[in-house]
Amino acid sequence: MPDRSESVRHPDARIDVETLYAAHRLALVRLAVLLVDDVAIAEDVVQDAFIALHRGQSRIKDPGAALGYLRVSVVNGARSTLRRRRTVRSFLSRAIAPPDAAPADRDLMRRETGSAVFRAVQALPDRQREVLVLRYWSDLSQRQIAEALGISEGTVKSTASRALDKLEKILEEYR
Amino acid sequence: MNNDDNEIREQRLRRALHARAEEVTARDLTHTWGDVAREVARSGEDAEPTDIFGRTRGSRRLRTSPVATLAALAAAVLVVGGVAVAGLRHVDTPAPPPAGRTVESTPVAGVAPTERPRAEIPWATVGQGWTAATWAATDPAATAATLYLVSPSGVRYAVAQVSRSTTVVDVLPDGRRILTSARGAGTATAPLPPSISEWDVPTGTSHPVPLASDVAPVSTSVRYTKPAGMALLVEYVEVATQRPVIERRALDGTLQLRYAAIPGLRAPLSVDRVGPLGTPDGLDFVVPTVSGMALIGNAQGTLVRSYPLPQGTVTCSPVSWWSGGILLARCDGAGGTTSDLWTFPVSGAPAERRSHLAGAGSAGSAGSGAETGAAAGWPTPVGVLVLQRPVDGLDCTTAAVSLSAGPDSTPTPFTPALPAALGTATGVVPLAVEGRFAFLTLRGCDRPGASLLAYDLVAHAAYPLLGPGANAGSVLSSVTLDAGR
Repeated sequence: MPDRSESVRHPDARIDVETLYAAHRLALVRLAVLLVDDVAIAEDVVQDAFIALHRGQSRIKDPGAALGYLRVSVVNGARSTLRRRRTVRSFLSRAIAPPDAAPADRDLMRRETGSAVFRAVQALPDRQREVLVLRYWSDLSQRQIAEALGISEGTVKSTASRALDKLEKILEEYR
Repeated sequence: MNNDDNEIREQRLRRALHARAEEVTARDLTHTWGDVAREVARSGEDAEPTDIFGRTRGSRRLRTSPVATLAALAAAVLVVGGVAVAGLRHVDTPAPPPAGRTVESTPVAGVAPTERPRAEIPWATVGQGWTAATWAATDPAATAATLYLVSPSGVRYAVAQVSRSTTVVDVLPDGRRILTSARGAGTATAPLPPSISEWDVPTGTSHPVPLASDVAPVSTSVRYTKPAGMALLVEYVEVATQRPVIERRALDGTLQLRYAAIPGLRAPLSVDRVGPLGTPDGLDFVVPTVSGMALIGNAQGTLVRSYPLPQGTVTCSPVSWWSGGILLARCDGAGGTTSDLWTFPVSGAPAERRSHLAGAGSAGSAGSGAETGAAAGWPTPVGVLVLQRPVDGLDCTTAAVSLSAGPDSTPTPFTPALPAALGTATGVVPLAVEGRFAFLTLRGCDRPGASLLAYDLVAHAAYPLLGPGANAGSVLSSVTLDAGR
């Protein structure tokens, strides 16, 4: 249980961030896991999102939109993390051959297992993965996804369609 | 593509996402609301100028994740330029030595085995080659044993006191949690199932892991799921049906999934069975069947692939993973007299025999497995280290470990060169191989007690880590961290 005695209240608090934390943290970590595929990183991303919300709550005009803000923050944080990760991997692959790299069999087995669908989702471009995860995990409407990602509903629809097609192609390659 | 197809693929996607997401439970989360509050309070008025979407965050991390650390390390390397980065497993080490390894992580001549407090465990270096072991004084009156985490250089950290009947059955790759099994109470004619406990190494505390009430007191296998040990994969024989059952249970013992009956699943009665062998990524596991072996999906228990028995064999059991997607299995020859090692590409490509052990042994009873032959193997710089049965040998002249130079070759006996204090060894059992070092347990022919030691296969030098040669007493059970387990 969270230690409520440690709660720090903003003078103008209109959002009960602590309650949001208790109610939605796990779901948000799961959302982040689907985007970054790493529990520790996902938890960090979500923690950062709550810290940002706590700090900036006075700037939020509609307290009812706080969960939406958190979700957007998580998506953005995940995207930043993936970008950093790619940069690092790109550098490392040029600079060194890591002696303790993950076993070579990992990717092979991932391709050949029943969870290939999730692996295929991870292989999608960031935007396509975000749209699919928000649609099929978070159960958001096209409008909500558009608002969350800052794109039009039409773009959401076309991105989802392309993502599903690409998913099929990736899965075909795995077979 | 019609609407039905669309619906099917959408449902499949939804299921896949939910399955992955729900693997994460509240128990896996380590941050608290207090962390958030403290962070906000700490930064106070000079809070970083971010918007609430975190688009321009600072670089503060609440917890150093591997990738974040990797990023920091890579950034550091970019700054200094041209500095080789080695030993990436130890990227959490603040200042790795040039070789990328600390004294703790490699057997080193001249470093005497020693004991240090649990609080001093250098977690950043824990990984391949570290061993979880139970150890006890050789005094037969002693009823207690000590659960240790032992570094490859012989620094032992006492985790807790346990009963002498406690054996280590699994340990997480980061060494932070250990699974133990203690012999069940009861009598010789009416034994009870073993008691499973999980130990939190940093705190030295444990909790029981209750299993089903209908567990036969034999051949129970409990392992962490891979890759992160978020649950347990349990195999046991159900008393009522006398059939093997495979389950996935939460770490508190709560049943998560009882896998549907796997066609032809062989009962876990064979010698040297390791139970269901999870793939390194944890997505599937391999079990022995009457027609060979089967790769089973961890999420739903569906059959992913079958591996037929190689010609001339009657049973195969999974042993471990070699790199490159290779499954190592022990397969019994016709008549069940002698077993050999075979490698099976996980892709389903043809299997290859890795050892060729001629000669007869005592015939194993049907379904129980051969009692002589190769039982396990580890690739090393000097060939494949092969563990043979019977492990103890008939006497102290029988080598139970051998080295195989190549595929389908007859291994040559391997006798470790030991310090005089250890005398002649028997019961040599390899646990893991890390580079040129093999981690072994062995007993002396003319002294009591079993030792854990690191053995340099190239220089033929032995480094006792625990037990005789290190701190006397005897190693009762041990599991060394090994990526192939």
